[in-house]
Amino acid sequence: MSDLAITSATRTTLLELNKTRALLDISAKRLATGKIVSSALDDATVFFDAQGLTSRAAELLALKNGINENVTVIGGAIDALEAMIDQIDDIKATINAAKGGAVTGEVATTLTGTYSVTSAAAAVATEIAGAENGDSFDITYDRITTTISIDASTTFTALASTINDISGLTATVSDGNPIVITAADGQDITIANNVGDLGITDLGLSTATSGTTGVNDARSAAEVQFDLFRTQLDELASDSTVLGKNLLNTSPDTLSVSLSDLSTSTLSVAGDATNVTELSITAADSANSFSVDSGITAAVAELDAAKAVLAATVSTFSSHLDTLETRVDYNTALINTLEAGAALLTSADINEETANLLALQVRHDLGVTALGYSFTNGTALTELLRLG
Amino acid sequence: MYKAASSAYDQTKRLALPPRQVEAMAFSKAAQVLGQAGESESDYRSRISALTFNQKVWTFIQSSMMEETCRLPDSLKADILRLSIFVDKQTFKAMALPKAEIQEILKALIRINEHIARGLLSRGEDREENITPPRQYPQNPRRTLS
Repeated sequence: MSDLAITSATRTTLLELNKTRALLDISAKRLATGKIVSSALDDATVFFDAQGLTSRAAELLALKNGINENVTVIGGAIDALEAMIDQIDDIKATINAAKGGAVTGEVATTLTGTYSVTSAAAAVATEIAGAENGDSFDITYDRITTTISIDASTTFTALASTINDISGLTATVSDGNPIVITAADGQDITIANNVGDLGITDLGLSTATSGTTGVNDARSAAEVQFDLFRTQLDELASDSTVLGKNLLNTSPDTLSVSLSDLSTSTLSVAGDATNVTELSITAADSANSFSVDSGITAAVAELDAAKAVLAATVSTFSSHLDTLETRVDYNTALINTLEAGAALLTSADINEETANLLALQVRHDLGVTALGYSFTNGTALTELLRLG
Repeated sequence: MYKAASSAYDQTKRLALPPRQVEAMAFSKAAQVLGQAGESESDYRSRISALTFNQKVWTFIQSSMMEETCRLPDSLKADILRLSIFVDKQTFKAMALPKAEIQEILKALIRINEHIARGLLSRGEDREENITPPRQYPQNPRRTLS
């Protein structure tokens, strides 16, 4: 058992390290922008009080700071979601590695019917008054449900043989005895009626949970890691708060991003609660144990489904960022101040190549056409350089 | 070039410098901090600080273009405005991205600032034969005018 403890601790450290890395990024955003953005706004106020500059410049700065803050919050959420996806990949590998490991100490589950069969070679439908051709019942074992049905001539022996064919189960019947079904690995055997009441009433079979599944160090360690992973996933969401906003916790915030200082145009970005419950990642407990391979397979299927949900959330937030980029429209008002404004509006969005060419053009014009002209009266920039 | 310009400013900060030179220094300093922000040792705080500083310089320029007292030729005002919008959008984009993905944005912003700073510092010696951007520069190839 001490070996098991060391292995768990090592794996815990690795998982913690991965999580810490992701959180460091998010924390850095939190610390950095908290101080810098507020000081930028303070600076802006100082500038304008001191210099008596246009309120339009102050409004533009405030607007852009607001956009910067919101963009940073969205960026923080995306970072957290991508960290979650990485953690899913890690834990999948860990639990998959535990599959196939031999277990020890299992106690078989035994299911004994209450109906004692008179003649095992007799047809079920003949011997039991209530049983008919076409009746059936369901056996669920190892997460698989099999329907067992009879026709007019199916014997008890044949019925037991069909159950015996189910991988992992053995079934016996003999004259004067009930049907006995055994699961050697200790998993539950669940019985449900399907057509008629053959299973529960006629044969007296009921759900059996008396067994215990065996243990194996790697499987047990995998369960411990899985539970740790579930906790950390939730922590990634709750810790992704940036500038007081959290888009992923159980009651997430909605961002309302101002896109213009001259209108009430805003972009709304809704949060999306993200946690193991929302993602349907079930805990590895006795009902979903990794002591059997089907438990691990089921968990992996849940993890894959969760990954797809997380990827979709990342995609949604990313497209919000794209939308924001195209919808900031304070620039519309800016361009309209020029006489040629209308023509320019259609080409207001430029790419890097065009920007470089424009900059070259400006450099040329400043040297020739606009020789001696400056953009500003220099006062605000003098202050900016002094403080920056 | 910009390092020399900034230190010249530090030494002479009590003198009133011509606005054109102050502007050149502002663009240069912004390019300098953006360059530092792109280095491998830079942290998130310094990247945000550099992007914000650059955006502020451009915002002052941007709002000045709208002043009635602005005497620049219309074509130059239009070019500056279009560039300032590009700077804003690239800045917003960069705020959400991790360090590894903003290198291209930083390079683009630095290049623009360097061009502007050189233009401001020139005394007309950049003749047609030295830099010849076509007056009719191509439109953004990815968008069509409706």
